[in-house]
Amino acid sequence: MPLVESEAIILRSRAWGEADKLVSFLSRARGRLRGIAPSARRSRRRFGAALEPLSHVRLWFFEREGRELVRLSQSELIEGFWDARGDYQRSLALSQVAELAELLLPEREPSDKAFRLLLATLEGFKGAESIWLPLAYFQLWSVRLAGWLPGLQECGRCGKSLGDEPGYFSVDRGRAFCRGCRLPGMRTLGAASRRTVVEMLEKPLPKLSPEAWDRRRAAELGALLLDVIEYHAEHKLTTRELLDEKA
Amino acid sequence: MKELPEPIARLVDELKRLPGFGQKSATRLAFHLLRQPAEDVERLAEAILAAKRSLRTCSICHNLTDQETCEFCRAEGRNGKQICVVEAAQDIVNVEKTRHYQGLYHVLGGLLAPLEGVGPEQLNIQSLLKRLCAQGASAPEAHQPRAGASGGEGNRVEEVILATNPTAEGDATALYLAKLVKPLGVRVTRLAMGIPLGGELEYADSVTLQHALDGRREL
Ligand SMILES: [Zn+2]
Ligand SMILES: [Zn+2]
Repeated sequence: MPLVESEAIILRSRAWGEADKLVSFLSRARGRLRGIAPSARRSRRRFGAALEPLSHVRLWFFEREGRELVRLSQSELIEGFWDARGDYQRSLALSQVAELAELLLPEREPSDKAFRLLLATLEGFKGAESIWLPLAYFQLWSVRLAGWLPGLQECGRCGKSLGDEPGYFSVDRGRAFCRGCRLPGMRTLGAASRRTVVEMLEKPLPKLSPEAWDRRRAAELGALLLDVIEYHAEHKLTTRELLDEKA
Repeated sequence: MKELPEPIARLVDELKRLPGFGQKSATRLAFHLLRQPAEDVERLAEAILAAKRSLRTCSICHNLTDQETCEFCRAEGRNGKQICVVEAAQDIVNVEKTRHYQGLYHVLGGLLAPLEGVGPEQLNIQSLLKRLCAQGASAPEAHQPRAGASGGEGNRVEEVILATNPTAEGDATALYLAKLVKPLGVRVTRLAMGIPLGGELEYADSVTLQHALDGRREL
């Protein structure tokens, strides 16, 4: 049983058995994993507060041949992001980040890109007054890394550049259409939102200006991205409804 | 190993659904039960069923009880000026063990857990707010169950103590509640450290919990 040491971000942690915790996390060295933290609910000796959701930690764990779950041995807090949970809406947004990471990142496939994205997003939440910019950034990049980002700048039917015109989109078509080609029931995606997509794919999160970012635009883009995710992953997001209700 | 006979396998499967039971411990318990005299096993099964059938939740605080209201809501001697908010009915047992708290309780029935789909509507939050709002002069006496300490003049709730676990979910739930309760003019406090961050009430000993109660801080 080799002991692995890795930076990790805790995604979810819940009671398991009598006094253990079942922890789902993204490790830098081994990708997304799930493991058991023995006695973590009874004693803080080995894990302390370093298994709370969305904590950035240094983790030691044993991989067990042929077993799905690893065995956590120790955890040290590097930075806790649960301070960011000052209000309920923020905690919903952070929960959605964890849900998307669990859903979209394949188990046992290390990806430094995915790890850095998640960490940058959490840091983005920490500094930000508005939760919508870091949330949309994570949604967009998750879709991009999953390879599901639809073409949004040219019409998927006639090929015309959308320019300053709004685009129209539905998941089953997988592309944006122009006004002339649009079909009933398609979502509108304004030119401003499409410019934001380009900007987000070009610049790191701290370079994006939150002033240029309003709630309505985030909702428009977020709805489209979550549609894409739910369609491809064939999974209804638990946090989506809660966040929509709250918005 | 040969497969278990169907009735034992079924029993093991049921036992495995209990918290803390895996295949091994469930099998051990199943064989233990089967070695006992039939009347002992019947008494156990009867006790489980009787408890399940007679227990309900208190109409005021959602604690478990076999009557309309629980022992705390009925008791004459409890201090109706304080309500201690806990996640689950079993947490009340732990707070009571400190013998340090004389107020009333409110059981949330869980914590806000967006990933599990648990939002405010799934928790006993409205009934808590109702308890705090109903205490004005306008609350008609007839609608208030005659419940020792709750309701009634001179027993206005002055403090809500949030005793959810000091975990991310417990904190998020406490902050959410504080935001709703404070505007009602009620003091809101949270159990102090002493319970380790990331720890759980269930595993805090009485002394630790007593310190946590004594040192509770304003939210
Ligand atoms: Zn077109
Ligand atoms: Zn009661």
